[in-house]
Amino acid sequence: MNDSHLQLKSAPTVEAVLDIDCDLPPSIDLATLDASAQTSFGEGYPKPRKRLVQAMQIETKDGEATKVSARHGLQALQYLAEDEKQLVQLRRQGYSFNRLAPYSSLDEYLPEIERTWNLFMQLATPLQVRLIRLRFINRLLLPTVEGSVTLDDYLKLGPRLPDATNLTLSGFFNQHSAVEVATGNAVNITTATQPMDGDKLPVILDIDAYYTGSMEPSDWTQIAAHIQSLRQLKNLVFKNSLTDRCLSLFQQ
Amino acid sequence: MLEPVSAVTIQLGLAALYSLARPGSAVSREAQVVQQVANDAVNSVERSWALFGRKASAISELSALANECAHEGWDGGDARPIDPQAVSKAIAFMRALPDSLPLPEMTAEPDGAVSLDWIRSRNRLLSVSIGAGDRLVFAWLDGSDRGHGVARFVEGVVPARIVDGIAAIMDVRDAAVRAA
Amino acid sequence: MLPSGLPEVVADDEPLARFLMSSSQFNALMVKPAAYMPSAKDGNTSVFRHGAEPRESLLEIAGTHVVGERTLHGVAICTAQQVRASELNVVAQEPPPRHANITGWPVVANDPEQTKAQQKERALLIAQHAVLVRVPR
Repeated sequence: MNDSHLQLKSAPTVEAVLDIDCDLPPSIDLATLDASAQTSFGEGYPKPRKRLVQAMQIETKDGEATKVSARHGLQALQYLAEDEKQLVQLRRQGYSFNRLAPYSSLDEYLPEIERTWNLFMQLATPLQVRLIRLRFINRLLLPTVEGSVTLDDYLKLGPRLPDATNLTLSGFFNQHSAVEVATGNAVNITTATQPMDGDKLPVILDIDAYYTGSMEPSDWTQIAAHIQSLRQLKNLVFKNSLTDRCLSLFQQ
Repeated sequence: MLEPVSAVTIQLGLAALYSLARPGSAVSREAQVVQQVANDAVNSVERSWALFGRKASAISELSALANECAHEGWDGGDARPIDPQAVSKAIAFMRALPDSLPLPEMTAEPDGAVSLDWIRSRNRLLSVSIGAGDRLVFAWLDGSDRGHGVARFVEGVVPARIVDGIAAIMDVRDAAVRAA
Repeated sequence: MLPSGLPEVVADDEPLARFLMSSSQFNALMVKPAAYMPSAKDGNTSVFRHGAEPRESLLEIAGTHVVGERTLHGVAICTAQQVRASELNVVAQEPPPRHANITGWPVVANDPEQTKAQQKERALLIAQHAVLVRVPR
């Protein structure tokens, strides 16, 4: 990620997400906020969308045809920028800011995050912040030689096979969860392979750092401080998950 | 699809894995890839009787209940059909329940919610209502003590108050592991 | 006096029958609290002013006014006094004959979950005392 502390020329970040989960007033109905939200966010985010969750019910009775019914629930109201590289979300659980590639630096996006968070507060009147999450999804394109790659050349915490001689790794999905004792921040680190992209092996490095605690929604100073703390954790995980050889791929 | 090679998450708990397997706030194609692979890992774990058998049976029982109470007026009065979203949330709740706790009994409520009940005796029980939203409703009786509350169920983590309440009612020690 | 011949005011010692249409509404120990939760439509819980006996007339009420195409699994019996001890009330509501409502369920303005939490606690209190009459198959 092209964060100020990492100085990467071509960051592998495909998506950066900031979630601020909060308690909304019990009487709030997300659907009724859409019209006001389109007005509030319209200038920078003129493309509204709805994210629905669907629950299916399959009913079977002897001798009768199976009946299938579905119930839709509104999961989030989404407002996308014109180029659809950036969006703001009003979710039942709170607020999200998403930035898709190209990603530069969190410093560049923080003022906009603060602005849209303030708009969210006016619309949804949250009672309390419960969780702040900073999730960075990176797509590392590892070069292969004759169709193979030595993962240890690029990943410090790569998978291991029980018999490296007779077995060839064909894919992996790993997840680690950890807590940063000093700050109380937690992090989920997920790595997963994707199918070959030309002569490159794509590896997803998904760093999901979050802080759980109660905060006043209007206290942006405190919220921003937690965001920076999570950013530091995310950077640490990113840097220490990859070898220098891997990091050099993002300097080209 | 290749079988996942890492089983570390099984020992550490599945909360983070379930969280990845659910639709979240990320929208990129890569986020969907992670979600799909996490789903495959979840399915792999849940095919195991040793790892998931008890809960699989409970979820099956819930599906049967949903079938039985699928119609308006299932209670002989004007009860609403059981809400499919409430059923989904109840399944997520049971997945998230620490393995150290007994599984609940289930019934439908007139407003379409699912009621999960831990019944030790007539005078010691705790009941949780799960509807389509994120706020769980619960009430308990413990001898002459009684009470009620509302707690949020998000990120696949059962609220501590409810975990502690179940453990107290059912006399379970060491329910400190809150993630499934 | 009501058309059924019963007094208008439900006395404390009167038994109240709640018909259970799902086997999930009770277990070997007790009737579950969900069986007493109020209707989402009118905010009341429907009961009939009848005890466990005579069994024939109890089942006749169920068959005539409640069961329809469904299966009756059991009957929960409590007293009006037990309902009132749960800070609720029982009010006669005919027709059908012998019908009454458990009323007075708490409501918290603008907070449906808090409303339900308080109602659930009251339902636990009634269920604690209710006696289950199993219906022979």
